Amino acid sequence: MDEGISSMVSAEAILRSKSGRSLARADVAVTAENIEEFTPAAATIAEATRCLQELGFAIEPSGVTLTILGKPALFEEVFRVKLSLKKDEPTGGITVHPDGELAIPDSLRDVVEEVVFPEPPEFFP
Amino acid sequence: MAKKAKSTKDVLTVPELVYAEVSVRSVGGVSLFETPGLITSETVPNFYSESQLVNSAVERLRTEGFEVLQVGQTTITIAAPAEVYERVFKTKIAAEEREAIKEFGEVTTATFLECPDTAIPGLIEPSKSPLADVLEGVALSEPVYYFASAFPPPKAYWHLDVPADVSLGMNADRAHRFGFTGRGVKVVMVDSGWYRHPYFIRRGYRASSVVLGPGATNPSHDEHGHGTGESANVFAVAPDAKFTMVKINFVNSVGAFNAAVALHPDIISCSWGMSKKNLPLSAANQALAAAIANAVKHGIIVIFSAGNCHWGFPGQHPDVISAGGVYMHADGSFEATQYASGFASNIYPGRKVPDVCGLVGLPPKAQYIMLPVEPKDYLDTSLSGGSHPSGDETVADDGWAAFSGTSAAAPQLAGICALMKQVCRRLTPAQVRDILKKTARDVTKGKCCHGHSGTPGADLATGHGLADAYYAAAYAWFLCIITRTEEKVTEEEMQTMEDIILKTKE
Repeated sequence: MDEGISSMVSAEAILRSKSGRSLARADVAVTAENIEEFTPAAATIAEATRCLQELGFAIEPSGVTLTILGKPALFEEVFRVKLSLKKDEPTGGITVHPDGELAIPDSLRDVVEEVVFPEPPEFFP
Repeated sequence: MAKKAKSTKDVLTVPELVYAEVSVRSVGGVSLFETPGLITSETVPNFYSESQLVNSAVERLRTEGFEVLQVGQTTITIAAPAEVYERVFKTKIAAEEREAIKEFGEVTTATFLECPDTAIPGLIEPSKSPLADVLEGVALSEPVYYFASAFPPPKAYWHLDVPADVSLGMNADRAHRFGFTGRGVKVVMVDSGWYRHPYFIRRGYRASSVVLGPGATNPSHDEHGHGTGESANVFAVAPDAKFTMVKINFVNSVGAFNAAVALHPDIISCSWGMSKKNLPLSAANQALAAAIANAVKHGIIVIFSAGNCHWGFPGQHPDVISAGGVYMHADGSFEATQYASGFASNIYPGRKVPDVCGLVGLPPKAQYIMLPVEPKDYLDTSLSGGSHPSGDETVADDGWAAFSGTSAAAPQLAGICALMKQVCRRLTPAQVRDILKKTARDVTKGKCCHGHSGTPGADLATGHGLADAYYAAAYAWFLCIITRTEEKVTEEEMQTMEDIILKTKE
């Protein structure tokens, strides 16, 4: 059984902010004081959710960014990228390593700035 | 003396969610559930399944309403309400109470699920279902019990036990006697998972069901042990806090953090991160920074470990309470530990890490606090044996392991924050951090991992020192009382209050 192919993987979609400032390429510290400037409008969230769902992704409740879930093949097809998957022992979590930046399709470009796979953190015991 | 329990077949309630292992048609042609022979390491490849068939089964199970939790080599773990099983497999699921031996050798009963249509206990036959072409059987999960003790194993080397020693070291005992216990305060931890260890159950701590972060599976298990163990630090300081674990599974830290925010907690504690010494931050790091900033903007107190020699990120984010490490000797004296980080951030100018500290061990491994873990998990097995300080001298399946790190400090601080929020609900995250700093105990000895020395006053070794649960809660309590009225409190009155509390402390 191929663990990777049948697993769901998850990424964060960074949405275009209502102020026009880029969160992905923020040139200042993003803090509670200025987070409003990096927050998308409700209409952007709704449109991005609709488009991503239409493409086949599941969306989870999120904050400033959208958490999207789908099979690796779906990510590869939609964002024109090759993914390698690694199973973390002992947690069993699947970490995802794309071979480059994910290309945002035209249908999403107005609402989605970037889609990223968060790098796996380490525990600090 | 254990009581003998009777086996019953009374009408019992089926749990809301029924878990099962599904076997996709085996490549060997004989069902996993009907093989006359033994299933061993030699024969198990016969029970693997074709990838295409497995993928089809996963998709169709989801379409039918099952949650697919894990896809293993021999079975797929699923969950759904009993009605879904009954509809799809055209059967009935009934609960039976049978004799079982639980923790501490207690002979009692446990609820087992049964399908009356088949002779094999717990098996659902899929032949009448629309999935008959891909599945060969569905095995209803049975309750399993580990034999971990609620008591930590006694060890001769100097270490701390929970809850007593951690509570004493953080000066929480005195807070508890005033009724400051974290009652009614919601603390969420984002970590490796949470196992219902007898240590927690016997003490009656309040823990909700584990919430799965994106891509995480197995809500009732903590395969690593880190989350289960470090959570004991929260309860040691705030025994009445309402605790929830969000299981991260390494897959998506931003999504898991946002899942914690969605629970609307008072406090989020995170004992993880990565080392980021310099700019630039990646887009994913900015997404995590934004998630934290957004949480704090909405009044949630966020605590992150500073790191163990890491340039901890998000432990250096300006909005978090950054948790460093202080070692408490057997005579009660304190010093900065070289296991913990202490640095001036290059990413956020002016940001000094940590803010305050919790109790953390010394190098090489900081095997300092004896913590409950899931028996046979990664930490239970990997830290076991040896001779302290290179091993924790416990056995590999006893459900206990000695560890700490700034991972322990963050939940200890979360516990103190819970006491403060209990006595003063309206405190902002910034006020909470300010009070923690004002009331911390200065640590003037030792060095942190980055080479900074503990000196009188605030320093990079320990920030403002070892946090103090009693004085932090007392300060919060007084602050809430004197700012209760419409009348504005003068600076002089504030100073007087501070003098009373902090002079008492001296």
